[in-house]
Amino acid sequence: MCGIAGFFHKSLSFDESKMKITSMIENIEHRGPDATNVVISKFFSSATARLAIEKIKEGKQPIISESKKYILSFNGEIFNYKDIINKYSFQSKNVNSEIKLLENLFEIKGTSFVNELEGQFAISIYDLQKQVLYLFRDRFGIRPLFYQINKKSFIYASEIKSISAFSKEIFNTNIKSIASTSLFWSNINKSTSFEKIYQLQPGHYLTYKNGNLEINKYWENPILLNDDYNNNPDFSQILQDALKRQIHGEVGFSSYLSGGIDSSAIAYLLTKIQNSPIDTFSIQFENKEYDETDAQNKIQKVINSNHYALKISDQDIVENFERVINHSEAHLFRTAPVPMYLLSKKVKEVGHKVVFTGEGADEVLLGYDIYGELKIRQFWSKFPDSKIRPQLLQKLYYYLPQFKNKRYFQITKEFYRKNLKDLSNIFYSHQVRWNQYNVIKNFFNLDQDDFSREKLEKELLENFNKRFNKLEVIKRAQLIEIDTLLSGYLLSSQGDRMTMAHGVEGRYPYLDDKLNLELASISPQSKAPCLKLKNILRKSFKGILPNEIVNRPKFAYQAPEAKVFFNNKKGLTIVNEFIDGLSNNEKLNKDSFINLISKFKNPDISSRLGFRENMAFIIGLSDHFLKKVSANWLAINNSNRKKINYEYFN
Amino acid sequence: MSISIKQIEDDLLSYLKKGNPIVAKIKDIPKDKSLVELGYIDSFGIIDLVTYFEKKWKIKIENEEITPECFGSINKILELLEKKILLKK
Repeated sequence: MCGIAGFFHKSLSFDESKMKITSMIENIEHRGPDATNVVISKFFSSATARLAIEKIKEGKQPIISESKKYILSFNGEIFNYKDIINKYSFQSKNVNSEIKLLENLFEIKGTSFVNELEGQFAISIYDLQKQVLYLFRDRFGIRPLFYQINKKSFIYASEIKSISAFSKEIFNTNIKSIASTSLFWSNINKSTSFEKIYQLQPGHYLTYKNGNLEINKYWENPILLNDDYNNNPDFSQILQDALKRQIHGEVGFSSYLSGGIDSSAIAYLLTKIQNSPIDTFSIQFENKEYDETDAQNKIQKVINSNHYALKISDQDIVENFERVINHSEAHLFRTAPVPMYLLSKKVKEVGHKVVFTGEGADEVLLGYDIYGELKIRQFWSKFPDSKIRPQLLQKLYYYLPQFKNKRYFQITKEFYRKNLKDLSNIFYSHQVRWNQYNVIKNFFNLDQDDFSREKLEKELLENFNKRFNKLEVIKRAQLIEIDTLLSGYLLSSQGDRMTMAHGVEGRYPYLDDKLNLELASISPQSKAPCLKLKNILRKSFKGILPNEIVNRPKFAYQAPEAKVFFNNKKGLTIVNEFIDGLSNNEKLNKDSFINLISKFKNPDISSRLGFRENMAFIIGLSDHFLKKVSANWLAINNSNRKKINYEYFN
Repeated sequence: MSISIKQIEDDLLSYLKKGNPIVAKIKDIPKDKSLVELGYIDSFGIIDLVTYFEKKWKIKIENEEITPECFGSINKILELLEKKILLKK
């Protein structure tokens, strides 16, 4: 688990290359505090800031292959590397680390080697003879990989700030990212929050040769390909197997514990596997609206973990927002990454490098409300005049005032009725959510056609395999969630970037490759019959975990939103700074934001803040901070320069 | 004291402008177009209006009346308010 960086450039001297690659890797040293290594060759340089987890001594990288043909480096974990070593009898070649495995497997299989790798990874392989660079990224996009292509060069890195250190140019924030974050809640396809900076998409590999780029998809989610449902196994066993595969490394592990069933199941099984109490970490909020302490305590008592709870105040969110933007490198639509940033700091302080977490469970096991919402709309659409059918929405969204209150529900349900009969719409499941774009986009200057909802939806659709259109609608909903919110936000802005800010690695057992293969042969109806969301998980932990945990309805993890910036001095200073910046920010609609801010400030009407107004504010504020922090990426602080090992190859 | 339609309208517009950052920046709010369709207000905005009208004009708006039709455009809202306020008298 590391930070990697590299570039191809035909006309740089060794000294120039050394300077560039050093700046690049120093900008992301937080990702790998254990060792920094650089390899410089004639046209290609590569560096790794390593967080040593497995084969701490043997795993030094980047490496030059024994054949002297390749320079390789990678960030992540190959969970099945020992299996592959056995399969190909690589022991005889002294293969004893993941990086050596990658070298040997690539030598015999070429780019198709990636199909054999299970894990979370970003891999770089440069062919010194053919002058070809290959980059690979894991299937769900757990580990990041960004790139920039210029006339004379190709630059890539685990984080955008590293690319900035190469080019020494200030990157512009991307208005398209504002549009897509407002609509889909994340960037889509290869776009990032910066112009001309792209991400290698999950499940893809890239080939750079003679100034040309070729990108291929090497993986499709198995739920897209399989509709032969023959499996109805005990899910706890599947999860336990995944955890066993992922307990990998020489440095131990810990677990997050949110109070929901996803992380409770993980923590329970890890305790069982380790056969002794594990360390667990959770967030608590001073604001009771968001707090899950009671549920956390219940599960903690069962597994008897050494539990560390971190209490988050409104002030904490305000004080860390800028730092979080510096790490997320993306437009945020909620403040929820901030507590995750602070929690991973806690994990580090306690002395852990690895933490298991429940992300992905709601996507792959059908846990989100949006799946329930879809089922209700389908059911209601068969009898649109029914008074009873829409009332199921009140059951689903029991925790929201506009559903709880009878007269508010009267109008709320009309917004759900709007596209009720558009069943042939390819994005039927997400229509109600995406209708909100209509409101949010008014806060930004998104009048061009490029940012119309139709255009953006079309772009999202282009990313999907042709089979997508023929899938049952609930699977389409799943794939949309996986491609947008999961990879574009939960695993990145709220995941990798927050844990790696403190050199901590997240493990995501619900996104395990084998586990997802098995899940593909289980029907959506078994995963979530009727409105029993994530039933497959709940069922298998019944009688094992406390009933309150097993039957607990989904409590979406959220943190206090925009209002935290308006009830204290530091927050108001930030707001004033934001207002000052509005005149030079052609992406934000100045009038709308000025009006929004005076609304926030007015105690009489600030209680009237809607979900969309909060979201617009956080997106706008992120853009402000992205501009600010990205300007600092050029000025690298070399004051605590660590020892860097340089290796040259002529 | 009689209340004129103009008064009701001015009050409605000023309330919308005060509480709605989007409406506030628009010079001429279209009176017969749906504010919902235009993306100016959402369900939350309608609930907010209902609460405000009931307090301000001391009227009761029935659950069945809280629909996108009645609350679609400025004119529709005025129609409803006028009926309610006059009825009260």
